Amino acid sequence: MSIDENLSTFAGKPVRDYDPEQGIRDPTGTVYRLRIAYDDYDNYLNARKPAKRSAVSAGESTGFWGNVARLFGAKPPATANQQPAAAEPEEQAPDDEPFVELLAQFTADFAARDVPALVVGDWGQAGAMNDSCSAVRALVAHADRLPNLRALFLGDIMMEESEMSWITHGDLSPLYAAFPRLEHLQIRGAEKLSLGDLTLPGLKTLIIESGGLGSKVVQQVFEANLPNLEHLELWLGTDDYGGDTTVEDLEPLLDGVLFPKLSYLGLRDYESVDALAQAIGSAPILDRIKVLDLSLGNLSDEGGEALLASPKIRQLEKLDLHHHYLSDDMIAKFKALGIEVDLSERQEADEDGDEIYRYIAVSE
Amino acid sequence: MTVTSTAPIVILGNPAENRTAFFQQALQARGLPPAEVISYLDLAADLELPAKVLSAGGVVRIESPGRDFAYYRQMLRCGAEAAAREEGPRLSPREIEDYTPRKGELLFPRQWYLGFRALLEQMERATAGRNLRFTISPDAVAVMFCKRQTHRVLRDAGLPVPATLGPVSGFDELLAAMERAGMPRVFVKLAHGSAASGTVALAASNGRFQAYSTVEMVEDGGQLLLFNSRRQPQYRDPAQVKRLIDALCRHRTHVEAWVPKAGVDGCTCDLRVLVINGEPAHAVLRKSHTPITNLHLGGQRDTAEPLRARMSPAAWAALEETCRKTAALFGHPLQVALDIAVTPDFRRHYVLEVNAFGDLLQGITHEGLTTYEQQVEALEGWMDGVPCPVVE
Repeated sequence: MSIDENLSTFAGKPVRDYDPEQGIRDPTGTVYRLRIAYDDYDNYLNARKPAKRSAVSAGESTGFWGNVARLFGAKPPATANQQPAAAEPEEQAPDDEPFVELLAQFTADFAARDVPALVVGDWGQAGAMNDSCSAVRALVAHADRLPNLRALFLGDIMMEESEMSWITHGDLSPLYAAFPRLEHLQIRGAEKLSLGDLTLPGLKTLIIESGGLGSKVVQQVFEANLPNLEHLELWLGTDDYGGDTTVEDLEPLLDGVLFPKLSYLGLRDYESVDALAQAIGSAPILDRIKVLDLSLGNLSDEGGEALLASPKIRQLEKLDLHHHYLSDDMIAKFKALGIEVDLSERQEADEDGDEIYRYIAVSE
Repeated sequence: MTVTSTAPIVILGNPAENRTAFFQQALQARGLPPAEVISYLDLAADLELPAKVLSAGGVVRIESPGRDFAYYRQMLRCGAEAAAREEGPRLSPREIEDYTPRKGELLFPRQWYLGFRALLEQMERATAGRNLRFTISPDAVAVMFCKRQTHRVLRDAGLPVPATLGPVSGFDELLAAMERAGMPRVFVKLAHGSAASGTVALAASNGRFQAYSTVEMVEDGGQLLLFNSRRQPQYRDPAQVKRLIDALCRHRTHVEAWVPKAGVDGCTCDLRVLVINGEPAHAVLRKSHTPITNLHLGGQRDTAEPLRARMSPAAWAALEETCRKTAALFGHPLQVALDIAVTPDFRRHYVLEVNAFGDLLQGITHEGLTTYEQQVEALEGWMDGVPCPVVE
């Protein structure tokens, strides 16, 4: 699976790209998406050449060209050579990223004060290490003009714009104080993502979509102060994309002491979902939630058997397993469980000699 | 309606291809006599054949030589001499005769192109001064079979095309050019490929690579062979990506920015528009879950409607205007097909490909006519039109 289309709805309302010429015509019935078009960002870079160009990829020694040089012994390109120590010039320079200007236009509209939900799309070459930091800074700087914001999607970015696992963020913690009324926070991409001290008393939904979610971020979620969280979705992904979260790492969550109001638990797109299925069958958390979502992963009969062996599974209202590798027999057993089970999108394993490959959905 | 029946029509193509049959059927449906068919093989065997067969005032339709290996082999023969004057992989006349094709193998596209172009030039020479009309000029076909030239023609005319990086000799040079241009996502295409043969959508970030391709690499006795694959293999291992790009670059490539395409119905998409007698006619939306949307590679077809519905009337009108201008630029052919990407915000568009033989779109109609019937219908009006100067 790849994300091939932008959101058409968010927070229960239709999403439209914000057009400054049209303004905010329908602040409460439409959710606006702020995005920087590919060619607009290209024009911006061209106007700023060469300073910004080189910063895009040659910002640090572990960056693209540093790695290329190590891999192939290639000579670093001229731009990187000429400006070896021009570290992060954009840090000091005034933030003139097109996204910052677009958000300034959006919030200059008086109607912005009524906007309850906002989608941030590609903030400009998001697929090329341009992280969300300046977008986050801009949101924080204009927060007083978005006093009613309750739902935020950060990174509505498609495969055509960036691999999901390459969407890069930074520290999101400034958002919490700036938007204390947030009820829904959804983030796509987990590269360099840091949640910091996540405290949002009103937050009901937290979704992190990724190709690989690092255990550090998972730890931050578990340490967060979210007393009203009802819906938690973590796309744990694969080690290939930085998803080093083990089933042991998930124990604090499975023990059921966190998030007293949780009713929907999604541990999705997980390479280790079979092992998770073994651990979750007897987990106390199952006594409190209504929906367990293990979809988009590589669940096989091994994990399926473990789930079926758990009496707690039958207490759920819904079990979502779509995108799985279960056999016909196993599917029949799940259908006989007596609860709603989503078993759609069955996958076929790839066989290469003795090796069997079962890919998770966002394996790109 | 009266179609000019005094103008005899000759097809240069392959009589066994269904394209040829479809056009003949369209003529017949209009009560017109069948076209005479000259095969590329006949032309290669007798370069004066056109002069013998074509009568003054007639119409010549240049068609695709198709997929028959006998035709491919013939193009390689015709291109052997020109290929020998260049650097790059090629087969000698002897090797051509001894060659046993393996299914799907990517074979010397540059030499094929040189041979094809030589035959097109011969067609033009042999018909000079005979007051013939080409439904698409041999010159224009030759330009369209070189993605570098096509890109230049469109760009110089101010039409929207993705930025190009210029020629690169291999992976290292490609990376350096990407860095210089600040272009982390590119399409690498064979300069003379068709049907997405030898295409790679390459994204690079932070020392990592993601390459979507139509190419399978096979090691054979220390030699790297390239095969067209419908599976769309993906490569992430930097060494593999390097091998792939280096191998393709030996065959001459065109590199341009990977402009993000709009998403519709959960798919990424682009639009094939057939322009007949200067006007956009048939359109097919090609929807896919990979950046390479070709229908034979698993893309799903749809009407243009889901895309058009998301665009403003002005954005759609601009897209149609690009189609008209492109047709005019290539000498106002009876038909030409464009592949167009619309940006994710549905506001702008880019021309990705211009196809000389992009009219084999089965199962769709425009104004109740198939692509071939519509061309026959438009023939008379087209012949009355003022011929535009042909591009270089």
